Amino acid sequence: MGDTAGHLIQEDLDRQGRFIRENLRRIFGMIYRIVGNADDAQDLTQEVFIKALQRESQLRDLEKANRWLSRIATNTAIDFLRRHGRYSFAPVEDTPEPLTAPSTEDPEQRLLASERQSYLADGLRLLTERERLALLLRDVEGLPAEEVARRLGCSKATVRSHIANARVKFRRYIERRKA
Amino acid sequence: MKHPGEGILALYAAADLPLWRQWATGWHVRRCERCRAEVSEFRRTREGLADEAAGWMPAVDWERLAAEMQANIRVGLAAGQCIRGREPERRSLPLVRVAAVAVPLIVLTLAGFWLQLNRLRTGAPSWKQDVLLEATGGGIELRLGDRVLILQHPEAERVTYSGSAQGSLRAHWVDAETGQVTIQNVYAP
Repeated sequence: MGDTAGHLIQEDLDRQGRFIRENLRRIFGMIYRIVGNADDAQDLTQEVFIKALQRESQLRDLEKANRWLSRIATNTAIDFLRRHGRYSFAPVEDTPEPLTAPSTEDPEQRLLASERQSYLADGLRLLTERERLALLLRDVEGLPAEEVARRLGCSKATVRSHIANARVKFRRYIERRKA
Repeated sequence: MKHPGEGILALYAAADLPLWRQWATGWHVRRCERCRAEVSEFRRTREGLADEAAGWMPAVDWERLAAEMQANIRVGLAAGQCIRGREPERRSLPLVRVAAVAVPLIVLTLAGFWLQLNRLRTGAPSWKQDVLLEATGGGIELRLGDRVLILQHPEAERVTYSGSAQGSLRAHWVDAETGQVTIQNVYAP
C-alpha cells in the first residue's frame, strides 16, 4: 500500500520533471524577450511553472498544455511589466555574476551574438512598450493579431495600429543601421 | 495612382489587415512595383527579427540556470502543497466554531418560540370555542361556538338530562303509569 502510494508520487514527480525540462528553455526565452533581463526572466519562469503545475489537470493534452503554458508565460511577463514599469534590457556584459559561466562557445561567435542582441535591443528600445510587446507577440511568438489584442487587453484595431507602427519604426531603424 | 500608407503595407505583409482591406491592398500591390518592393522589405525585416529574436537568450550557463530553476520550482510546488494542505483545516475551523454556537442557539430559540406559541393557544381561548351547557324550562341546550343542540321534553320536571362536551345530549325518564324507561340520545354532527 505504502509502496504503491510512493510509486504514484514518484511517477507524478517524474512527469512534472519531464514537463519542466521539455518547456523550460522555450518559456524562459519567451519571458526573457518580453522583460529583457535574465534575473526577472528566471523568477517569472519559475512562477509560471509553479502556477501551471498547480493546475495539472490542464496539462493532460500536451498540445493544449503547451499553448496554455505560453499564455500563462506571456500574461505573467506582461503583468510584471505593468507592475514594474518599462522593460529593461540587460546587455550580455551586464548579466549578473551568478548566472554567467565560462562558456565553451567560440569567443568570436559569442561576440557576434552579443552584437546581434544589442542591435536588436536598440531597435526594440525605439518602440513604445505596447508596440514592442505587440511586435514580439505577433512576429516572434507568431500569435494571431486577435490573440495579441486579447493578451494586451486592447481592441483589434488598436493592436493593428501598434503592430503597424512597430514594423515601420523597426524597419527604419534597420535601414538606418545598414546605411 | 494613390499608394497605400506605410502602415497599411506593414500590416499587409503579414496578412494582418481585415479581409476586405487585405484584398484591396493586394490588388494594388500586384500592380505597383514600388509597393511590392516595400512589402518585400517588410517581410524580410519581419523574418529577420523572428529568426534573431527566437534564439535571443542571455549568455548564461544554461544547464546551471535550468537546474536552479527546476529546484526552485520543486520547492515552490512543495510549499504550495503545504499551504493547500492546511487551507481546508483553517477554513473549516471557524465554521465548526460558529456552528457549535449557532445550532444550540437556534434550537433553543425555536423551542422557546414553540412553547410560547402553545402557551398562548391554551391560555387565551376564544369564547366561541367553549362548550356551554344551559338548562332551560323546557329542556337543555348545548352550545358549541355557533352551533346549538337543544333537547326539550314536555314533562321536563321528571326527565334527567345529561350532556357531554363532545356534542351529545341525553334525556332519561321513567313513565309513571307504565314504568317504561326511555332514553333519548342526540348527537351533534
